[in-house]
Amino acid sequence: MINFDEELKKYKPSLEVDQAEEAIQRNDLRDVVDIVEEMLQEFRNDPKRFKQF
Amino acid sequence: MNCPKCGTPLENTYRCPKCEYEEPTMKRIIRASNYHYNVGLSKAKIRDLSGAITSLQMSLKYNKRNTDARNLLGLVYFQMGETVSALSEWVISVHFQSKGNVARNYIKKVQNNQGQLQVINNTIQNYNLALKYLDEGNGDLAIIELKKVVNLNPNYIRAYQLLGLLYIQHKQYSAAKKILSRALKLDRNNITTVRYMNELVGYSRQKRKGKDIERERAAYVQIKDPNPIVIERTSGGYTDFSTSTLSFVNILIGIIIGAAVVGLLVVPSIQKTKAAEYNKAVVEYSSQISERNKEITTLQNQVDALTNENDGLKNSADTTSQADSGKNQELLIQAMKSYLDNDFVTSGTVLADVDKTLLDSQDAQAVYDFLLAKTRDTVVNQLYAEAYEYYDQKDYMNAVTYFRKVLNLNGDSVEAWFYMGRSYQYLTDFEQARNCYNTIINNYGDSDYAGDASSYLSQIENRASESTASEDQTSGEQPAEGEPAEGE
Repeated sequence: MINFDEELKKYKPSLEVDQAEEAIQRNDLRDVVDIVEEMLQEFRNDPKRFKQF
Repeated sequence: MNCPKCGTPLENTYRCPKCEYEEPTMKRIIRASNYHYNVGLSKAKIRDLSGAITSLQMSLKYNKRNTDARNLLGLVYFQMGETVSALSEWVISVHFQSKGNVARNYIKKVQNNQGQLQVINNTIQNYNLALKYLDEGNGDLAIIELKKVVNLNPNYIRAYQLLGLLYIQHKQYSAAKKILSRALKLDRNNITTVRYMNELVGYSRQKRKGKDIERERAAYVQIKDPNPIVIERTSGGYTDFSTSTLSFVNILIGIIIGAAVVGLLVVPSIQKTKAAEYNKAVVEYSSQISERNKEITTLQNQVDALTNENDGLKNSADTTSQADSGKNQELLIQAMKSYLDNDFVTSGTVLADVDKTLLDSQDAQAVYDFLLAKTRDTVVNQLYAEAYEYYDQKDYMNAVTYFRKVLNLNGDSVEAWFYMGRSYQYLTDFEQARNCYNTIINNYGDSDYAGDASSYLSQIENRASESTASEDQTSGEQPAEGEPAEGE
């Protein structure tokens, strides 16, 4: 059975066309490449920390 | 990420463009991203749009610079009616790859069609308004707004889903089924849509198993909105069929109301005016008829009066005629007495005064003829001598009287006709003179007086024409040629 009240809460207002810029800025562009690069950077900065694992 | 050997940045590639070194981690990441892109592309081809979105988002989670995946994600968003999301993806795609990127064309196409963009914005506003109505508890208004949205933007899957959910909530299962079927045609494996459809099937089975099957069937069939989906999509254009239909219906209703107003207000006024004019005309004609009747009565009275007068005149004429007849009888008796006394001259003279036409009986006319035969020659000569004597003395009145007596006894006396004409001419009675001259010319044309009669007749005609030309000359003037010839 559908709980209509809960179901209706899932629907959020859509962004209008003039709010596209806001949508772009809110977009999370962090990908796996960024994560790996960040990890490599941390490794280079503190190699001893990773040796513990 | 940079190349471990030469430090060159590796953007959207695992092979260093400078030293050709293949970075293994980057290679795995890019391959994983491409794999999910391929899966997403496959799902998009079979219209599993929500599945394609999941795969493409996964692809971009591995590699945000995967331009193909981002462009395809934008297309899928656009196909689902999420235009703002599509534009966002394309803008980011252009940001990462500004040259040779098809996303630039997509953005241009959308931006150049301002009408379509405005329609899209309106649908989004209506959708948000529907959500606001729902927050306020106005489900019916929300349904109306969502119907507008799906009419304006038939690809807006979220609107279909919400509308289907509201129909289910309002137990309009048939309408919900139509809406959700439409959404499933756009996006086959949309989890939300499929879940709603499954719920809908459950509701239907549950209803059918109920005790009051007929009632439940009626409830199932009873649709508040018989036509939730208005139109099929045509040639990709955005048309507001419902709005135009409503406008047409409104115009039709307006025409009907206008006709009713004319029928109820204007027509009775016109009829009242016509009735007043008709009554006025009737009164006018009645007065005219009354006047005519009065005139007819007056004329009838005049006719009666004239008839009476005519009768009186007729009686008077009869009396006069009777008197003349009696006088003739007396003159005839007097002539007979003189004849019996051998006084033929007196007898003929008296007889000349008798008018034969007034003698009633044949006996009297026979006596007249007898006396005339016996006395005519003697009396005619004497009367002619007297008449000429009057004429010679210019006593034209008596001359005319005696010439007429002569002619009464002897109508063939050309001399009497001639001198009587001359006497009338002197008396300026040209009509009588003309008759005398015409008698001579017509009946006695070979006589000696015919030429003179013609001459005098010409004078009379000339004088008549001159009188017509000049009214100053009156009939009282004596004719210039009026002197009788001495030798006549």
